[in-house]
Amino acid sequence: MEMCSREEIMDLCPQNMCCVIPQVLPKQLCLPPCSTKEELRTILTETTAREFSDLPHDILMDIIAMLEIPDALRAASVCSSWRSVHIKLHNLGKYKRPQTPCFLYTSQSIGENIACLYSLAEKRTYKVNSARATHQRYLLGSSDGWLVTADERSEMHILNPITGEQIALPSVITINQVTPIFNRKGELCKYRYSRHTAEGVTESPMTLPLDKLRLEHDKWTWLPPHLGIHDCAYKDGLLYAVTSFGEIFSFDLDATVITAKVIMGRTKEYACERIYIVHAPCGDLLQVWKPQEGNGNWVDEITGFPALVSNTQNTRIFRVDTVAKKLVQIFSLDDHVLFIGNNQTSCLGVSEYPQLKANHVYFTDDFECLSSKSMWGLRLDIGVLNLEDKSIDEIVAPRLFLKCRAPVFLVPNPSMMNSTLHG
Amino acid sequence: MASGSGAAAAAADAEEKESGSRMITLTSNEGKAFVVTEASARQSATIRSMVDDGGCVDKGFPLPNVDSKTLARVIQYSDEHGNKEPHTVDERAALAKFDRDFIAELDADKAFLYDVTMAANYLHIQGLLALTTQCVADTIKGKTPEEIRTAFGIEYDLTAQDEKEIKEEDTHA
Repeated sequence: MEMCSREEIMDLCPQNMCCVIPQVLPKQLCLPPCSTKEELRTILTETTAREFSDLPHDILMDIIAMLEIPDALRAASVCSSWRSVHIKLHNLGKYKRPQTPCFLYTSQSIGENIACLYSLAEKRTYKVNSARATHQRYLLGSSDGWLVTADERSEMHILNPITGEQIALPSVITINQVTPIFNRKGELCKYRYSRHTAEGVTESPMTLPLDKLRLEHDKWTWLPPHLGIHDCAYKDGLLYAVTSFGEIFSFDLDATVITAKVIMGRTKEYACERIYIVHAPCGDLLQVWKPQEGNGNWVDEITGFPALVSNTQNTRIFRVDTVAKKLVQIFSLDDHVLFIGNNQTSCLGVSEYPQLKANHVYFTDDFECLSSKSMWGLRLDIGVLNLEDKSIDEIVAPRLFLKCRAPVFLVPNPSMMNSTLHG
Repeated sequence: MASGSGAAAAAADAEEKESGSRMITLTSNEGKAFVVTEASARQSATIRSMVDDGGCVDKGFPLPNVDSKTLARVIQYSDEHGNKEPHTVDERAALAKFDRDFIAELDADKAFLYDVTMAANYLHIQGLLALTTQCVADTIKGKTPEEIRTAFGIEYDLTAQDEKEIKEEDTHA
């Protein structure tokens, strides 16, 4: 960058010209102080160079913060100035833009250590290398850009595939109800898992319903027991959980003794559907019922592979009337979309996410057996349901899902946990 | 108490009205003077705070970092946003259309877009800055780094170390 001589600076900055703006600006507008000479020099060189690589860093940071993650990463490879701004932005965790959900899947045909991230905003696939864990571990779900995984010992980790950051969750043996059992060689072979009354022993591996547990410092806390919890949602300090019978409970996680408050009792006789619960942006609580897949001898016509019978087009959505304690079926999401599957269920407005299709439900397969390797090769039930005409579109070509582990939706989160905690 | 503060507010209102009708001179770095309404000039937080501090209105404001062409374009924006307050749906739509046309012209001339962005930043015209930075962000969307460089005329200056790091990141996302 060309330096300006002292004389040039003085020329532009006569002592008695009270209105020359750079001198007064920082103080009056409470901007961070900077040396007047320094500022003038920067402005001068920039004005003469007229180069976008020389845009002031605060403007550039605002611009990059407006982008979807893939765009931001590409912008970071444009030139050294943009690169340093992106690094700064990354370290500060100041991304502003609500990120459009991506679709994360692994496949044997792609390679052992690679997962694919399909951007719904760009309709493009990115390869993610930090995903060894997603091949070797059980993928339990995703939330805030983090994948929740369990290994063959049921120990859980959270993993951010964008940053590669990984954090081990407290060991399952910190749960009072779980006792490790060792074989004669002293190796862990299984866990004893006792519910509040009955006792049962399950073979390892075993995954526990995350909804029932609370992460508190270095151990898990058992929430008051309810069977068959399908989904949960968190809002204003309260955790809402829904059971397979449509009952809704809330838990105040800040209370010293956590008790379950009944928001709504049973709404169904049979537990034959997968139930999701989510808060719409307007604050309404929604309950979504997705029919379970059947085990019919159905063969997928495109791939010739066996497939589960899907009834996803019959998915129903209800608004929870918490006063009258009843469900009111709704037939349109208007300008909203739903994401259901093993991800944290979400309801988004298309005004903020223009690339998503309004009044559609994006769904991935969360059939419980899918985490078992024997089920690989099945065509999975993944797509976008149009609530208007009940038609289902593919998200990506079906071939991609052959031999793939149950995929999840993931909202890319470029912030490191450390900067989130301290920022 | 209530009537006292009401009177003060009314006085402030009157002053506002009076001051709103004043004309202000902005001078480009080429020495060209532009006379604008105070309402238009107040789109700039920089000028607004100086006017409110009671300084300089008569002498005018020299802007040593803005050339005449850029200043004329910035004033076009400030006039449209400062002189008329949109009340009806139609007026708001007209203003939105003005913004769209305004930015479309700048989008076609990236060097000029750069100048207007810098001027909006320097003068603290928040709406204009939001408009131009959004335009830059929209240009970046969906492009490869090479395409972005071409779009903005940016020279490649990454070091071997940068390239190595980028390669490593690529494997992440």
